[in-house]
Amino acid sequence: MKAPGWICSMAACVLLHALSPGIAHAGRAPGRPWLVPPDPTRLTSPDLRTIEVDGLEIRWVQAPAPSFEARLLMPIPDDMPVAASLLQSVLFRTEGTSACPGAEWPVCLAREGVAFDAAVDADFLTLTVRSDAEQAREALALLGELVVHPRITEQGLSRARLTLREWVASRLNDPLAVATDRLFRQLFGAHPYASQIEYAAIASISFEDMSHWRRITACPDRSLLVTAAPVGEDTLRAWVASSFSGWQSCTDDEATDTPRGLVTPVPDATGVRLEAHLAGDRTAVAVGRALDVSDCEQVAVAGVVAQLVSQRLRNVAPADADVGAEARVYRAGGAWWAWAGASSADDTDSLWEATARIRRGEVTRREINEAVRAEIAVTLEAADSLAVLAALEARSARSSTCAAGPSSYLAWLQKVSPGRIAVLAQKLLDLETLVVVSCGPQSGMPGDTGTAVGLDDTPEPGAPPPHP
Amino acid sequence: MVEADVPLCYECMNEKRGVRSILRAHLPIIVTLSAFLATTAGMSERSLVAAGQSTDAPGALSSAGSASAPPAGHDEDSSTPALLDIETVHLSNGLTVIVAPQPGRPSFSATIHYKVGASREWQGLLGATELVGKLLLDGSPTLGTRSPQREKSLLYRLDRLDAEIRARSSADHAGASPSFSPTPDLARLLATRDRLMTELERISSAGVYSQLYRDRGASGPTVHVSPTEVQVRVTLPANQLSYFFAVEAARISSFSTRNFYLEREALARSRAESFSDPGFQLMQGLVAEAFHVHPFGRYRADPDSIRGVGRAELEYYHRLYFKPSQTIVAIAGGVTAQDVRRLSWRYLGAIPFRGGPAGRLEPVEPPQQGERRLYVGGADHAEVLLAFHLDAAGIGPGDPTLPVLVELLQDPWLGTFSPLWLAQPAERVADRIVATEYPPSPPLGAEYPSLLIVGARAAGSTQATRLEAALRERLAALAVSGPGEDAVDAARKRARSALAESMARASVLSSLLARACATTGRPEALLGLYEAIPGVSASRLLEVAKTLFAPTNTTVAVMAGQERPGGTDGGPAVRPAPRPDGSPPPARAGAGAEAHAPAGEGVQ
Repeated sequence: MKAPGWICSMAACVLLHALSPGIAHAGRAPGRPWLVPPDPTRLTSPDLRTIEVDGLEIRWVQAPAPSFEARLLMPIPDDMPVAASLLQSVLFRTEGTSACPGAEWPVCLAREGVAFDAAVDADFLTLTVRSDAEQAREALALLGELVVHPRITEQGLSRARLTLREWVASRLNDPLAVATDRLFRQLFGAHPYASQIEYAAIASISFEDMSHWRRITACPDRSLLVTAAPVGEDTLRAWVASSFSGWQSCTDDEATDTPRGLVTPVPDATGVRLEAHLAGDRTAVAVGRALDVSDCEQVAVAGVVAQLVSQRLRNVAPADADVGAEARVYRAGGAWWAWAGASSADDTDSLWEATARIRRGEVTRREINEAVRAEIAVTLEAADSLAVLAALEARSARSSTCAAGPSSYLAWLQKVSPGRIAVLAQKLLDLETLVVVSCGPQSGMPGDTGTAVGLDDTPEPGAPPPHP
Repeated sequence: MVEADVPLCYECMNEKRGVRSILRAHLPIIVTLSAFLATTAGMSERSLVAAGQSTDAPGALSSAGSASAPPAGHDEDSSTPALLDIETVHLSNGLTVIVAPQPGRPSFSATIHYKVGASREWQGLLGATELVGKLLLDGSPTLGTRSPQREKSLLYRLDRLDAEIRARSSADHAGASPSFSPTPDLARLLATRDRLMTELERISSAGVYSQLYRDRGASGPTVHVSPTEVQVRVTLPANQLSYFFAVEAARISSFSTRNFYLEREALARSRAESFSDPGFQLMQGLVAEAFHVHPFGRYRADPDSIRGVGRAELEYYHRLYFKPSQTIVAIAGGVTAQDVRRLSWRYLGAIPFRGGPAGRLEPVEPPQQGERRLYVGGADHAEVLLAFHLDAAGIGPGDPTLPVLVELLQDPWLGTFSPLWLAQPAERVADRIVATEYPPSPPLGAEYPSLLIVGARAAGSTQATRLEAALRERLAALAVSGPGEDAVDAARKRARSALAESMARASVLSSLLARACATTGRPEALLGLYEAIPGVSASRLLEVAKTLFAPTNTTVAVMAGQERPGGTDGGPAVRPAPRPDGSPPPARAGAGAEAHAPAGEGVQ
């Protein structure tokens, strides 16, 4: 006896549908299921508790694993991104601790078996220590001593300046770095997110400036300590009190601890085209636009569009071409951008043509599902470490933007629909209104109809020459 | 790749088939999925049991009913260590499930560990483990194809063609070499093979299980293959635990070789590229020199050996080593032990027993009697690798001395080698120094004899001879005067911190637990190691260093850079040093099945 094909087909569909409660047809597209992200309300969240010790806010989670991690987040004042970067670099050059005099800071850390990291982004300078549970107290004490009594020397500052100048020099010859820097400057206007580190600024920051920076921002009432520790609250309180004892409150009224305001798109930032010529054999194009970060669901849609564009850029890149391309959403700053770097301008043109098809709605449901999946995977990757998860949640609680932890972001992601993706893609991928920056040895840019204004890529006086 | 939203059985759409044959073909999957549906839809235990019993399902899933309640006499133990809750469930089919709940995480990570690696392969099947690894996520004979019957028939035809092609040409010329001109007969066979493979590709998909996982927001799955283990790793949202077990029950129960010919050729080509890489040659040559008898000494399968593996033999290899009793499932993250235990019995407990675990590898590597050396040429920089047999120093699995020793050697600021690369650029000897274990299975150590490998890449124009002398000088100092108490204390702390940090990450923890269970039989051994590290003394390290770094326990591989003592301009050249008694150097490139016993050795 033969079973009619349609019966079997229907049985298979029913089976799959029942298997996947998260998959709903619901009239979104006939015959094609639409992937719905996992329901965040059915996921567990870290039991993040908040306490305060001597004015320092602490978000902590009791970790069962035998490890300890603490992150100290210090907000960066609007006018001091370079000072923060210098401080990040100089912290590795400080001269030991009271228990480890005469040695460099990394040596002191290594002796105690503590891993240390300092990172700076547009909002925070983050200092991280990691150790096993038995060394937790020592690790926290080391962090406290670094913050409360940093042994920064002029020599250390000079070495940090050199490090930072080398980094800036390396970016001057990188078409992608040049293109994205200019793009952000155009997008964010006067907002601190637009600020770039330049030679003159590095040279102009003195030892006194660094001290001033510490006085107005590196203080307990403006910082946030996030930790995952296998200890109880009383123990943690005692440790923090002793480790950060003597840490002075902020004395300067210039800086406030209120969150930065939302980014207002620069009015004339749409449709701008910039072009820079740079010697070398690589070319890069960066496009972007400001994004309204007051609508967090919209930001999640933009995240999916970014994944779609990334996929498309990767898929159409010739297999034998040296091409890199990606799209992202800057959730805290409120921007959507994409870049493509290749060894020829023709390659980047073909990449952009592929993204134009997304704007015209030439996207399959499979591609959309892949994009949603990629966003979910990226979102959940943070959950691998409880400390990272706690830091994300704590940070998002301090922010007025959509830089949220995994559970909130998954909730927004649930509201994403193919219709909303189509509407936003049409808006985001409009080359006529995007800011487009092209940089490389060849002229020309995708959909080039605008006027090239040129870029000033002249090095600052006294700067080392760009690498040939 | 299969589409995310395609039905599970493609053939239903295109071919009319008997209901009985369809049921027979799909019953294992359907029953497994029924069990899953029962869970998600709140179906009662009783109804689930009824469903499992009434279907009279073949094989794995016929015992679904009994799986809902652990059989009498099952071996289930649990322990609650101070720092991490670990529970182990031993299923009646031999499969072991380990769970380490970490409340508060929105996701969990799982590692499916198979206690088999390349060292189990035999002549004619070299490369089989990697091939199985590439096919593990491809579905079952009925899952991931539009037409199982058509697929089966195509695969049989391909098998016959492959045998004919291999008979007519050397494996070297099986379509891979660009300069190869096949005879007209062979060309016709190759064209037919390509046509059949295209047809097969058209009706089937690859990576079905990857797609099923990604449908639920998974990161992964990925497959990792080493000489001693194969691991499948995946991370899922915490509320997808039932789904994970349903998919794994189906995946572990069956195996599809539909992409065998595609993957075999891809692996052979990729291996051919690796063999022209001097770095690869250096590492492989070192291991081959170090292990003359044990299968670890075999080179990784070369392209010819890989092309010599047949599909039927691979299926046999899978049946032999990828069975429940060889499998460990370790889960860490936002799940409860109770849920894992219940679902383990329901889904994985239903997989039938397919025989006990494989025995230990028999070959015993005799003690090394003298230093062994190997040169590799053709590189533009000098590199030196020194290998030492760990068992010669009495270091076995779970010995805390090893992680402390590794920290003592390679820490950038305090380690034994730090002067070699903290020097001013003009005086710097090494750019990169690593101390690692082979086979790579940190932190518990390998189940079998293994090596500590210390390697360095020369800084600037440093010559290999100077680099080797510098490395040896530092090791000799360690073996003569021993490490200072301060240095040992720092190394202990760093080793413990590194282990603690690994355990804090769910994805790494699940992998470590599975490995701990595979090598020592107890996942808790991981915590035992963590707790034992502070007990490693300076005197123990001195004692170990004296034996471990003895010249008679040393194997040296030198990539000469510009010196090129054994190289040619045309590519890497491997030149094992002749033995003092004039006996031939060990075999290489896939000849490992014929293990060599060293005829005599001495210091070069």
